[in-house]
Amino acid sequence: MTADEQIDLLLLDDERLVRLTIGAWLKGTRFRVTALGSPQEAMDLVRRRKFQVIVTDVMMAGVDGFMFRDFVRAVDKDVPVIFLTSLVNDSDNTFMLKVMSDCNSYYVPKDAPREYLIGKLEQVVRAYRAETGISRMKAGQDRSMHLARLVQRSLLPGWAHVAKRYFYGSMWRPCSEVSGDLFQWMPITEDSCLFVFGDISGHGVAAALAMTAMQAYLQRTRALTDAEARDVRTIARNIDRFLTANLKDVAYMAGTVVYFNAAERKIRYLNAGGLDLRCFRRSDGSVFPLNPENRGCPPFGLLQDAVYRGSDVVEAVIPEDSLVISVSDGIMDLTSDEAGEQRAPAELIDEVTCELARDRANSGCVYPYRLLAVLESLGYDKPQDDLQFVAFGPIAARPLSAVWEVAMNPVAIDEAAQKVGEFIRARRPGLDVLAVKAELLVGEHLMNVHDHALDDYQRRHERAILRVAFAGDCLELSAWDRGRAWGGSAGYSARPEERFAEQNASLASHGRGEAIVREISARLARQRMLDLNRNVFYIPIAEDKTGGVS
Amino acid sequence: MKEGIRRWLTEQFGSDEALIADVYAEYVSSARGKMAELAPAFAARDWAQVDRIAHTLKGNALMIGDATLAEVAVALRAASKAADATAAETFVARLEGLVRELD
Repeated sequence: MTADEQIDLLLLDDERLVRLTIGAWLKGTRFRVTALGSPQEAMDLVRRRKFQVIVTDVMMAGVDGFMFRDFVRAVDKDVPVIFLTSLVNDSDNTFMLKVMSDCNSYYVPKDAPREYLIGKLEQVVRAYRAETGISRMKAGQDRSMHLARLVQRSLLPGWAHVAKRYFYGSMWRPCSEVSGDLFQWMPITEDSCLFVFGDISGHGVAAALAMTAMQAYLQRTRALTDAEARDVRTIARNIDRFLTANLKDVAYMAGTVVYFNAAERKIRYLNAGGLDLRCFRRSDGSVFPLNPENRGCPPFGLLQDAVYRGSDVVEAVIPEDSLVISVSDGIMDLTSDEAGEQRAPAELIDEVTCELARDRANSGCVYPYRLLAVLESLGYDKPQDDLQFVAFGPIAARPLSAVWEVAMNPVAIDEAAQKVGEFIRARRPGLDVLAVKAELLVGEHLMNVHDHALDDYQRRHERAILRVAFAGDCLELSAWDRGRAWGGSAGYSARPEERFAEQNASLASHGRGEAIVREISARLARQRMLDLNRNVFYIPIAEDKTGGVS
Repeated sequence: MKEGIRRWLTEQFGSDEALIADVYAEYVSSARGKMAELAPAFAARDWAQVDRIAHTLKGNALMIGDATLAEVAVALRAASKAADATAAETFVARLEGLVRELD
């Protein structure tokens, strides 16, 4: 837009004198005037055409200037409106208050000379254009930030993984669109893996870019042998060198390099300035001390030629049924007030983490979500920093339950359903009917999630976690997914004719699977924690006609 | 045309006599039309209507530079808000006179 460009101005005043005068004043200027005497005509026109400034009288028969402004705002919330009025001289300041109630409204007294009106119009249009320009720039920035978030997300490992002997669950939550928190998982053998957790210094886009560079570097170093992965000092040194060589004086990273072997239950890690790992016994939530000597070292990339000594490395054999947790320091900045001053007490966080650790009804994979969900429910729902929680541990052998990770595609879903059936038949021979019901339920539910709760990207990348457990007289099937929030109907009627109609209605919104799932499960519990859905189905283990139980 | 009005219109429209004449003629026509509405409104003691007409007279007078008529219109507005018939009668009569004096 240049200073010479024409500006479309709408003038509304029921007095012809005013229209004539202002029209004459603005003739030869860059204001292209459309003058109307009827508010109704003006409203019709505003619906069809965009103006860059509107000048209106206040007191008109029928629709006054403020009512007209309300109408305009419903169509265009930003166009400047100038009230041309003599009311400003009145002792009653109601007029002024009404004008000022809208941040893009102004007034010009009727006795103001031509130059004043033109000057005010120019001023108002400049402000409008500056604001519009800023809005466009912000919209562009928002798009860029959204893209940056997608790039970061694409470099992260899946939110959860269930291997043969170990699992992990993670939650990566930027404070704004992008994050300086890093999480990398590298499978080494069937039983072992390497984790890298990090918190890049600084905030915003700079920290996010450094995180992305670090994450990309780590991805390039994936092919490690088990011996190499155990050498956390060398890995730490390589991370440090990458940072000092590429991001010197720009960023450093507080973080932890962790080697974990589930078969040995061994953990070797080097903590470089981050919050230390914590280990909990799931039997009672008690803390297993990993690092009683408080070993550690300064953050990566902080010192030139940093030296990592053997005495910096923590090595421990953790209990069989345990959960190891890594949290970024953003957890210390969870607050309950907008000003960010009321932080969650450290004792409260400790208490919650202990309590949740011993809750075996939930898979350890979802621990990060549960932790944040509980803290938010206690009022600490205003994070001041990026958040990252990771929980991992050995899979404890439990005869009556099993956990699987399921890729969200039809083939993997079918395989998962079969695994559930095989598990049931293996643990309880003869429960074929129950096995079939469970297979059907799992297949239908997960396909429902696939069809209705996920977008295309998620169908390619997302994982669900599936848990089956014999619980008394029921088979308990739990499924966690990160699809959109969706729920079914509360339940179906007992009356057959109503039930059929309800099922058809459910079919339209939730697919065929919903109806089948509800027919099979006696009870259904749904929960949403942050962006994680949890569905729990209970299938009765009852006697069948052949004399067995199903 | 009163000197004050002419001066104001010349400041706004320069030497465009045709435009000045046009605008002034519209002002006079509008003022006479409003006075024709004012008389029955006052007679009926319809103070809301009297106030509205006075407001319009004031606004037009301010636009044309007729400060005197604008002041009387303001006074009439105050009287009508107070439902003061005696004061209003005075101001209505004054306005009638001022409008008659317009060419």
